[in-house]
Amino acid sequence: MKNKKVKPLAIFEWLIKRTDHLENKYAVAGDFEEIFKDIAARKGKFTAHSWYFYQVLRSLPVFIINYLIRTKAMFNNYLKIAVRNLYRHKFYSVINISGLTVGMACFIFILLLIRGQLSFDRFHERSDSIYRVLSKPYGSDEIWGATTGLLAESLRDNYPEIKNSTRLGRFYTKKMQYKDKVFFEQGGWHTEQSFLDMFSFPVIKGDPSAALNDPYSIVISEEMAERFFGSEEPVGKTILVDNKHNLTVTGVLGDIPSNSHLSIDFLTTFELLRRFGVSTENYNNANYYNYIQLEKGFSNISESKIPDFYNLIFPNGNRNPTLVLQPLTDIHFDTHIEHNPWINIADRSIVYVLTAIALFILIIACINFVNLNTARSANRAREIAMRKVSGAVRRNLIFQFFGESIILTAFSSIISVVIVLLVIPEFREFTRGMVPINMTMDITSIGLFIGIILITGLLSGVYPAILLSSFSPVKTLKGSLISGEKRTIMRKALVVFQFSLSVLLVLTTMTVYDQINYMKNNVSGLDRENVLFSVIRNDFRNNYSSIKDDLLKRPFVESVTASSNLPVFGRDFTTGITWQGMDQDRIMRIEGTFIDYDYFRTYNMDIIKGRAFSREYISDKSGSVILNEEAAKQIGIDDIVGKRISIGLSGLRDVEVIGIVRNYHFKSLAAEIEPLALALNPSRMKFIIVKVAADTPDDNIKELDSVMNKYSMGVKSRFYHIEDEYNRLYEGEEYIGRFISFFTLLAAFISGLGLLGLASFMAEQRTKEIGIRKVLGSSLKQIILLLSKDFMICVILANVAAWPAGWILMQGWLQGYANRTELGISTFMMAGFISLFIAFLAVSYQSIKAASANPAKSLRNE
Amino acid sequence: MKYLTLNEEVLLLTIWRLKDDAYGVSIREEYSRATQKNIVMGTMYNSLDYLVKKGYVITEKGEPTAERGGRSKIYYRVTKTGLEALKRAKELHDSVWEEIPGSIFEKIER
Repeated sequence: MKNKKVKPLAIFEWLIKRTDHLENKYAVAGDFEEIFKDIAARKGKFTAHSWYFYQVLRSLPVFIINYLIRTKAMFNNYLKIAVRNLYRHKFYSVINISGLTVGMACFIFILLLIRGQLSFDRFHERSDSIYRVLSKPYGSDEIWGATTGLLAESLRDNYPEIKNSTRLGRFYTKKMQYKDKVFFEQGGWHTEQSFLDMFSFPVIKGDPSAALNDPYSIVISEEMAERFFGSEEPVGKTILVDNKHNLTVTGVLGDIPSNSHLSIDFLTTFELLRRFGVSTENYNNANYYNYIQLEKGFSNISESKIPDFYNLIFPNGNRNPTLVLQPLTDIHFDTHIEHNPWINIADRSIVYVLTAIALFILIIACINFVNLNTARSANRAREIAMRKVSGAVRRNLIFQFFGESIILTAFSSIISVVIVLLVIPEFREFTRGMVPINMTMDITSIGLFIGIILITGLLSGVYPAILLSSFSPVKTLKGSLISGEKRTIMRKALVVFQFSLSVLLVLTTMTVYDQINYMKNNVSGLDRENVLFSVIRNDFRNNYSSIKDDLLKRPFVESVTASSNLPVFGRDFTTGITWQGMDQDRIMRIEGTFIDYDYFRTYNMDIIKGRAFSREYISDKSGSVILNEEAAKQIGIDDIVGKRISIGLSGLRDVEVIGIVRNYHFKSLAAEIEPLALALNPSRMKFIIVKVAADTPDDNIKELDSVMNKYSMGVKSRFYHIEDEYNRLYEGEEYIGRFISFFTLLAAFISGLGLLGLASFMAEQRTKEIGIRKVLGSSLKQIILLLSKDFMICVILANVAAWPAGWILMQGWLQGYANRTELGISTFMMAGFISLFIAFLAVSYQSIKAASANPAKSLRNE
Repeated sequence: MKYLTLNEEVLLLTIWRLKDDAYGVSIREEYSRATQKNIVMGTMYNSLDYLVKKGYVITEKGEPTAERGGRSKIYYRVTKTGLEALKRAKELHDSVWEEIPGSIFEKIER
């Protein structure tokens, strides 16, 4: 019977032991046994066991409550001690907390950004089943985002798996008028009712299920409504477009979340586009974005059926493109396809970079924490010794120190959350609204946040906890302080690691800025200085020649020309090019722009073979084309000037190459220069370009503005600098640069902070030593050097470690740019210098203070 | 000073009644007999400890016995403070029950 008793009784004994509250544990266990035996004797073993089991079960609540009360009491005690400690060492506490807080705030910000980036387009209800249709031209590996206007409908007709489909086309800016207000709105699209059905854009006024049924309807943004109608009710009002068409406002769009790849100012119909004279219903254009919605579970047709669509429609075609479906949520990161500025795209590498930075900063902050705590461990040796002597087990102490670090971390994180909330508006500005509007308040984020606090607290607390709890009370109370060779090395190693991360960040920042500067300053092949441009809107385009003459009258105007597109905006058309003797299987694509006479003169471009367009040759007006060097190179015919080629655009199907222009950058320097064709076509001029003399005063430029205003039918016009537009190409990189430099600054700050704390502590430890040295004759300079030496070496080591890694990473990044800057030794030297400088600042203040202490005072207590 | 709860009062009186023989098992038996309910072990010991903490009861270790596997019993005794608390409790009862006739219970339906 005794054996059978052992097991159940053991549970209870174990339970009782857990609750130290019951001091008379054994007596209670004995009482149990007594009753147990009694019942067993009277009513049998089974009854006894069930009685026992029942008692344990019903006693559980009591035990649990006792345990919680005890833990809370213990927790309160630790809390009190932790706070007391913090308060007693205000200096270190402030350093610790501020470092951790800044680190956590950064971490949170970056996390928000990452979430924002990854969450693009997920707010649509049907985001899982919406795809964009892309096409891959025959024989090419390129993928095109813009496709023909007929795809949406014919795809839906041919594949029952497609539940719905829609299309978008750019609304080319036209004059819009309400009463006496005139606007030229930019971000408009032609689309269909299906667009509002498929996507979940917020429609706050009007009926979203019917707003675009009427061909002359328009749905406008809230902002636009306010501009046009003020506080009047927008729905039902009429807007006059292009002096010809009356559109009725049928709906108002609410705030579109910033994590949408589409920016929309207003929506009109495709039918309206047709009334503008554009023929959309054919397979020859590629200007529209088509989206389809697949029935759930039918996504496999993206592999099996969709690619062959063209073969279905044109079974006899021999150069049919293939179609590719792109999930809606992938669109945001798609940098391989060219998009227009109203589509929000970012490089996926941004997410990786952001994650890395976030982790770096958090690690740096944690290292600070660990270092400071372990450094000051000597001060707490007494407390620990006393606790151990009074009965604390090592486990208790570990728990205590973990608790302390978690309390500190929790405290820092609360402050950091407050900081984040306060600074969010500025942060949104800084990141241009890439933080989604709806954030934080969902369970996953809160859970994630608490998890981060715990992990940070645990990680930072592990080493100090284990270290501190291992102090031997005997040694401590006897007075032999822990010298800790090993610990000093560990601390230094952590500092090296910390600073090498910071140096990496500095290197990254500098390289990014170097690259940006390189791209801005190495535009070749054309003049950007003193070149201005202005927009010729279609309603006064026929005044162009008068404008040109008027402008040329000014003495400071050297040359005037025009083009259908600006070099910076790329090109006007992209199509195929063929020529006599071309390899049958070869496909060559070429981009092009329409220009006016005097184009090359205005930009100071070199015609290296043949000639520019000239009024002396009537054939130039419709039968000539000029290619750039790259085009000529790719065609590969020697002496192509004088030969005829065919470009796949009406009007250019049979033209003579009359000249070759030296390659000039008409896109970002990130890409190689591509083949370019230039042709005359005065009817398509959209931009007027003026070259002025160097150092033309601003007043003269204003004069040019007023010339434009004379002809521009009451719409204000002005001239802009081409150089500014070129610089705008690099907004993306500048954004990254600003971003990284901000966080690098913070990381350096945190590292410096940590070093400050450590240095002051070290100085404190060595006050006696310093006192003695001074008495024995050391100079101030020698002592400062002595104190700083160790840390400087750490920083130098950090650089040594970081430079190779930095070199590899930066080279890798730069490879993505066709035109790149050199990774010079000066960059690395700069980074090294900056890190040494920061370290020096941090350390020197303490060193100087310590070195100038009065030895009489420091040696007094010997 | 706070009043005793009913449970505390019954427990204290039980301990007092048992005089020198008030330990876990006997207290439980007597308590169960008085209240007609089998009090749970955990609850009882918890309440006993609480009484000790409040100072109403004091513990004494007894001799270890073979039957209990070599473990000693712990005896409980009411302290002077405990007696004072009991006195207050009784005074409260008395003053509240004063001059209430037994006939008030006739109205209870059988």
